[in-house]
Amino acid sequence: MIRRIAVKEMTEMFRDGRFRWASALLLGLMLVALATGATNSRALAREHDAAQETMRGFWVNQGAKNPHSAAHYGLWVFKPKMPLSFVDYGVDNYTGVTTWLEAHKQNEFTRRPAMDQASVARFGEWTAAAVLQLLVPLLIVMLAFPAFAGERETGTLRQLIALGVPMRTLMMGKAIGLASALAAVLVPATILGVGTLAIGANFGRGTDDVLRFAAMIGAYLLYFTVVLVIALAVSARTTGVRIALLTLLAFWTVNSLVAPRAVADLARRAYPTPSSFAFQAGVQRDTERGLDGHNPADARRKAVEEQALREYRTISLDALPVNFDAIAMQASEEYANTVFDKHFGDLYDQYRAQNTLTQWSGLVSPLLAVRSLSMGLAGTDIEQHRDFAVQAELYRRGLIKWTNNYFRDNTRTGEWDWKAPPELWAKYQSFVYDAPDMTQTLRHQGAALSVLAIWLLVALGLLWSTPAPRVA
Amino acid sequence: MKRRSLWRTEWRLLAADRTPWLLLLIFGIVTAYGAWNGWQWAHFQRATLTEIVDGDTMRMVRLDNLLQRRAQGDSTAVVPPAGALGASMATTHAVLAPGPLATLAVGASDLFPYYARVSIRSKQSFMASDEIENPHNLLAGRFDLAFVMVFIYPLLLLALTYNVVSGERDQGTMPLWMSQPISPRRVLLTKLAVRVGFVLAITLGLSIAMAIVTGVSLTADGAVVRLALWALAVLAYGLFWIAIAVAVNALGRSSAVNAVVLLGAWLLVVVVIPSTIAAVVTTVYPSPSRVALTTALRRASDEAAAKGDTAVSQFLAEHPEMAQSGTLAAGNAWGRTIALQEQTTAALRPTFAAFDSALVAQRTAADRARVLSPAILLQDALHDVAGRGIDRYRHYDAQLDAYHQAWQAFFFRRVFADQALTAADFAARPTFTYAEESNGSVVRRVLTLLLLVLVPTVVIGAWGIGRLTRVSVHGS
Repeated sequence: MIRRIAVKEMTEMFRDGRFRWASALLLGLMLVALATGATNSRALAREHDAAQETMRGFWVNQGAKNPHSAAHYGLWVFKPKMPLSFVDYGVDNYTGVTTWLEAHKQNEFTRRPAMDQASVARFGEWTAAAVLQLLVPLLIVMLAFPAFAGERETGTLRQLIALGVPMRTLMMGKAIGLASALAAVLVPATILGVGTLAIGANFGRGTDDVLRFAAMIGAYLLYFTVVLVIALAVSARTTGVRIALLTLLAFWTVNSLVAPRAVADLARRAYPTPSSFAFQAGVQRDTERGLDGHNPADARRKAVEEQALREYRTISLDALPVNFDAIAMQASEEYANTVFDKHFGDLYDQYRAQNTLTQWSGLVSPLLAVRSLSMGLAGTDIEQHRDFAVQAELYRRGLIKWTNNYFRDNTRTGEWDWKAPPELWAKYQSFVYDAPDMTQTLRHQGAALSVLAIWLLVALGLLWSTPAPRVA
Repeated sequence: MKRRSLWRTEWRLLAADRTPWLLLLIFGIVTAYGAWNGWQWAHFQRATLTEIVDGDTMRMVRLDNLLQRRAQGDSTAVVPPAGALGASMATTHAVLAPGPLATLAVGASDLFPYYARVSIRSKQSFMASDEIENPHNLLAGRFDLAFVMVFIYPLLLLALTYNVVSGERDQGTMPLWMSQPISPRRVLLTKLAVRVGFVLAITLGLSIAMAIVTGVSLTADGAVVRLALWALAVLAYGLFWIAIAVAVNALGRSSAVNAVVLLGAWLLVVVVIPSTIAAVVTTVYPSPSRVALTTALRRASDEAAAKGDTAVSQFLAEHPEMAQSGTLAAGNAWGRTIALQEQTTAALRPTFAAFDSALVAQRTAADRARVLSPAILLQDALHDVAGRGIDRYRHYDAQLDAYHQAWQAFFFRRVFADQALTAADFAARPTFTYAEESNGSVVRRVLTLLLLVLVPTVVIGAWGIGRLTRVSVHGS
């Protein structure tokens, strides 16, 4: 019985001109989004890689220099584009793409691409993710709203009930029929997506990207199922086609346009972040006076001095066989690092708290949950950015320590004019970013996954608890 | 039927219905939330700027004391070289305070810097830091009053007008008044006018109420003009949606079809067209690359450093006003640093020019394309009125550049002459005060945008009203 209903629904869909047109349009938009996304992402990836190479070249060829001058000269690193970023740009346009690794300081990421875009760009981006998050649900709503309400208005629901078809069977049949019709559109779209990905041949980590892509498809299918069941449930519970449609469109509008912004403002209120000015002032204060406020910089230097004298068993700094300036610089680097860890860590934790709240808000607007998962899996969310920032910072610390140690071991205190040989700089390894694998990414998506699971349960419950037939 | 009694009847009909009041309640809540968010942001910016300016004032008082002691012959008062003062110690922030209507929109102000600590160094060095914000929130955009007006207010209008004709037909009341000795068009237009008047009065009233509640001072320069522009913009945009609703009603379809068509139109105007424009414009006129700029900057500064003394003498030869002798005193480290920096800047001038012209090309194309969607026009108009658009930022940026040049000129002369800064010099240093744009230029820009909203409004509206005479009891 369920099968027959499903086949009937599917046949009806395929014969409906509106369905064919809407699907064709959707597929077209999807293809354009994928194609432009792939082109843009690949161009950016190439540009960032090339810039990274160039910067490394500048570092290697900086000539004979004092190691500390070299540390001040530093190095710029660029955030690589992740292979799946063409499906979902995520926050890539709203995070800085580059940072300067230099002595004494953890710099922020600068150059947000969004600053250089016309204001219209903030109405939204045409990505495959936007098509999947906004337009597919709209198509589902448009297809499913008359499923019951329509039969009721034309009087066929009465006939079906009279034939003894249970409502639950009818519900299942319609759900399966509509889902199959949609699958006939979405599956080719997915295959095309995979095709583009394969042609792109930008599989940084091979299987991990395939897994991420599969997980992404799973998340979207779950999202579509939820929307479909909601649409059918509304259709079964409302008195007329008009009410069913308006209710569903109101749901779509809140889900897609209102909730994301409303929640963003709520999240910033719940977990506020400091102003950039206050943040920098905080870092400076803690570096000078100590994290606890009772360990000022000159006292710390005194302690380093005493330790060096003990270690080398001498009574004066002049008698040290090594360069005390370098020792002191490294000590202050290490203290500053703890300050940076605290402040940057607090800031990113605050972002994380905001994003967890946003994910939980998916209970009201499932889009928020699937959007978070999609970005996470595409490697374009803030967690990915944080991961990169942390690795870049660790590289910076290693590099600066290396210059300080070299300076310490090869000179005596006060030899600021001494220059290291020009071939030295190539000896420190280049920066290679090691992207997190999928399990690490999913660790920050717990709330989003729970929300989708809850929605799935709700959807199943709705399917099961189909109300008694109301025929008029 | 008398005209007045027609109005009264329609109003009673509307007021007796529960839906408009429910919609009104929702809209009121949404508006209040938007205004609250706008207030929070303006408050955050003002608090930050106060902290910044207070810090600056304290530093300047301390520096002034030092210079005064030095002037009185106190030898323990060690004054750092002019270069160090111009590069950091004497620098203060050039701030762009939120405008008079700032609480009404966040606009582009969450992306653009609103203060900069201008120094004798290159602009890139002091414009490097952005305000801290979770990028996820930047991507989502803000729920401000401008968003409510662009996205939600049309929905309120459409909800009350989508069935002006079809509703009567569905209920069967149409034949009743069609048989009255009064033109059906007048009945329909009165019906429409009552509903539209209701929404417009509420929206304009709420806008102005929110402006006042969030602390907009009406006595501030330009506040009243801008508030009037805001009201005018909201009115023009409302008329556009009413015109669409009239035209769709005039097609004579059922209420359900009207609702779908109108929602489709809304989706097209506020979502599909803007994001398509964004996609096309950024593809055809790609944003210039900051990445390439960063690389070019480092290359140019390396090249200047490699040339060393040659670059320095070249700079001095090209700028005789800086150092009469044409040479730098031995040990003038700041003079050397500046000469190299300025040679780097000069070498990069073509790169920056190309960058800026790419930006301008993209913005010009986007500005032309926005004619296609009144939603973009309204958003830009509202952001501009609130002082949250790109134009006010550009106005600030131009003043920032002028101030930067004046600051550099002031200190460069002293650096190259190897002169220490005196207390009198310090008092005569350039200072920055943002001069607000003239109200006239804001009015001109916004009215141009509104005119572009009115063109489709008039065309569609005239067609719709013309067709309303042909409505029939049976529909088409």
